[in-house]
Amino acid sequence: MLESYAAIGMMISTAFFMGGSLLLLGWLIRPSKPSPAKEQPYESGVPDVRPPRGRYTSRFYIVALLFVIFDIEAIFLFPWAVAFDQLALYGYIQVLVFISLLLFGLLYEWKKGALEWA
Amino acid sequence: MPLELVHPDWGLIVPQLIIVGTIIAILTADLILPRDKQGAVSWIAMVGLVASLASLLTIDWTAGDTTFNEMFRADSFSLFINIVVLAAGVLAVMISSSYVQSLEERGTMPMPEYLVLVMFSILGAMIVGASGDLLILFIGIEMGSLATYVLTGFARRRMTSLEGALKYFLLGSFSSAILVFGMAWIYGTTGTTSIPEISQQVGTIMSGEQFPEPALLLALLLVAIGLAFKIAAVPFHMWTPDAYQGAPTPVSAYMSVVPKVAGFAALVRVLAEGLGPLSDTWLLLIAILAIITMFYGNVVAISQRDVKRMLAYSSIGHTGYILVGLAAYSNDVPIDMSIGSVLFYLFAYTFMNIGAFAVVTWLQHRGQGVDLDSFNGLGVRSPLTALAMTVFMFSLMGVPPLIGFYAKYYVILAAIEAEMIWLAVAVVLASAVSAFFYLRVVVAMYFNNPEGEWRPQATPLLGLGLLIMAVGTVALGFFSGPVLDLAMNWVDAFEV
Amino acid sequence: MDANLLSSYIFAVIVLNVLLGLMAYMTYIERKVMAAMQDRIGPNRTGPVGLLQPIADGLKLLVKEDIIPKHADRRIFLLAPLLSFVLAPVAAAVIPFGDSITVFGHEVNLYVADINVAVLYFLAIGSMGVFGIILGGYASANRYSLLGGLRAAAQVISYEIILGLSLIGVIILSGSLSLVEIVNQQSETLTIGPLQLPNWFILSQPLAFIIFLIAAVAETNRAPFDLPEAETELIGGFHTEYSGFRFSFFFLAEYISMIVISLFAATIFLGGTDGPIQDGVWWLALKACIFLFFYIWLRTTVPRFRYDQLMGLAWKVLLPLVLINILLTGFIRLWGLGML
Repeated sequence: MLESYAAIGMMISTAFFMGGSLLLLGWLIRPSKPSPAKEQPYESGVPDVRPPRGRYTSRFYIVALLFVIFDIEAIFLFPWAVAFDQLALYGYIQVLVFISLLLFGLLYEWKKGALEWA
Repeated sequence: MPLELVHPDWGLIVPQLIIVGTIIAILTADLILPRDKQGAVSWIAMVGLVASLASLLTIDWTAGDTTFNEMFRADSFSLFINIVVLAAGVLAVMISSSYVQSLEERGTMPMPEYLVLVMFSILGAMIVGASGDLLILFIGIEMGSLATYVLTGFARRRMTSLEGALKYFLLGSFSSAILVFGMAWIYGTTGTTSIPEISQQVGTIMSGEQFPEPALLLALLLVAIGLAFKIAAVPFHMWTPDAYQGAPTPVSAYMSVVPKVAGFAALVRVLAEGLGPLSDTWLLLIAILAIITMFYGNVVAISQRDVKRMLAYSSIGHTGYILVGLAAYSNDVPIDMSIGSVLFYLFAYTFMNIGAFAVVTWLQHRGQGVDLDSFNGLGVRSPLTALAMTVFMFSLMGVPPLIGFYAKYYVILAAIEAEMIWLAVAVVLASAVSAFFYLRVVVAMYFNNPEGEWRPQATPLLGLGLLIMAVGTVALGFFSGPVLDLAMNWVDAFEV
Repeated sequence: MDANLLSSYIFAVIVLNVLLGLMAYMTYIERKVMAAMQDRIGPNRTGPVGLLQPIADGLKLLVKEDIIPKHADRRIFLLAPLLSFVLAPVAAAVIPFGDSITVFGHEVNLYVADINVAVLYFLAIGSMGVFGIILGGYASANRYSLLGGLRAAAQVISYEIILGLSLIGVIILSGSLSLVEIVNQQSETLTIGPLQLPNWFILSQPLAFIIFLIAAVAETNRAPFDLPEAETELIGGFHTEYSGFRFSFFFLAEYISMIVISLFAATIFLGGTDGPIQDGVWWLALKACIFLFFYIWLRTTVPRFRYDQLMGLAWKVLLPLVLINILLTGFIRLWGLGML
């Protein structure tokens, strides 16, 4: 089993090596003539005046919170699914309660407007 | 091949399950009811709390049963904590429903969300009381704390409320981190998170040793500091005045009791039960903490003009008194007053302190501020309310035959039985100091002339709550015996 | 290094290179197919019927200047494309390409790794791919890029949940997270009355399959869910400021993810290497090609979603559906086992 992970580790490092060598090759043969005009951030032709990393909508934050809740749900469901036959009816009823609570939470968020994007 | 599943005994957690059900019911009502009818949810909350209180009768608490792999316990200690917390919850809902709906910029405080947070905090405290494992204990503390942070900042248009909430939140999360760190050291030393097993392990480690292991000492220190934050013991009280002053008044009332009860329940579970064999070490620590806390709180309270701030310092002072009960703990004496006196004090404190804050709320409903001047002439304007406030003040001061007197009496008795006469003397001295600022409120009510605009308003539920608390403060003083007997049952619970 | 590990490693290198090559011709095929659908000719100048076009494109990108904008966070800006590029093909490590074969008297497994959490591994690596996009968008110090990165983050984490939950039904049926085991179970025959059907999970989990398909398209940021790079509003989104070979890395990563997720879908729902005659990697390739064609087809037919529609679809439609699917699957499974 551990050997499998070693193989995956080697695959990742090989991929890094391949990517790195491609970049190195590009660095060796491509031209490099930087100029102030080239280094301007692209603003559809408008000169950039405002700082680029300004404030953005907090909706993204809410989505992140929702994600954490439901991803944890998924993590709980995976082991249950693997051991489904052993856990049988008792496990199923527990998951039923668990999912019902989460569906209720989803309904609450929905009605409260946490899922509206505007 | 079905797995061998451990079926938990759901019967033991019925009171907690009822609270969870109530939370879901409130949330559902929030979705269904139109905005102007949401005041009705406070009745759902009350029904849930009372049902939970009633369901305490269905469990045999003397058996000391456990469930969820001994993580969850139904013993006499958790019974008492449940009673105190649920009673405090009922009173808090009674005094807050009109406040949340009509004060602090009408409509900015949604009632259902407020109640859900209160219920979560109550649930957290109940879980702490019933915990047989450090992990459950921590989950309970956090569940309660997180809800209370939000409640503190619930008046979200008022800067002082937000400031208090932020201070409370920052210090609270630091203290939680310290607490978990301490728990990690306990786990590292004993190899278990189960509180009874910790007690055994520590007993084994301590037997034959003159000095405890440094790792255990460190764990003890970290846990004590972490929990001292939660109960607002000096020098870990910094958040208290700002949070109490900034929070909406019913929230101040609520958070002066329930999180404190949870904190003391955790202290008792961890120190007295888990680290009981180490008591020689921590008793002195707690005793010193108690003395600093009671004197600091009571002395600083003298200079406060803002009544909410004054009550905040007074609650710090009371933390000191309750700590005296814990400091009198010993695992030798067969009949030990200590934890019983702590529990009784928490019970008494629930009535008189929520009562005092309720009177402030009552005044705010009538267009008054929260400083001492707004009490001027209350004896003329509303003799009954003034009488109730007098009862609460005298009780907080410790005047017989009110319940506050018996609370202090049992704490002092516990200290004397533990041969800590100096601690008993300190309690008496600090009480004498506290008389000054408590009496000042009474003087303002009866000897000053009324001033400022007075807007009569009907607040029936708040009035009923005040009545219950005032009567309770007087009557339970007369009949303190049965309550104390109930509190003294902790001895059965902690047979280690 | 022992022989098993060495053979796994060699196989891994082969997978990486094949994926890269496939990706190059994937772009060519996409352009040809799209052209055909839109009644155009498509690339036809470089080589016979334009077959050398991908190589020409690659060479051109390789020799282009690499521009780094003035305010960019240089280190992250330089590293982000590489991260995307590395993580995309690595997810293929757990996909079984067939039974073991004998090469030079040595038995070689046709997969890089058979781990017992293969499904979780795939989901984990798949969702890490978006890090490159977020970091690239953030590091560019450009409004469009930042918005593109944020959109990508929100989109991927929303559909990540759907993707994961849609697989729960399959796992209930298979009782394993190992892809080798899942493929083995699908090679059995299902007999319903006179019908002899393969035990592919698409037949027992049709709803999960459709949901998985939608989530997979969103997860790879492809049309109609390509909002992180929406040209008309974000000028390319997270890769606005990228040029030269770093830009092509994002491009590579996107196409490789498409291929890998198609392979994964074929493995999970269509029986992987299982086929009516002579099981083998060709069946897997054929099935993956169906998915890839579906990707291109979608791109030419369906207009881009609006952002609120995108999030609404995930949270309000797919999430409840997928949870109901789990409960239904569990119920039917219990019934089938006689455990009710």
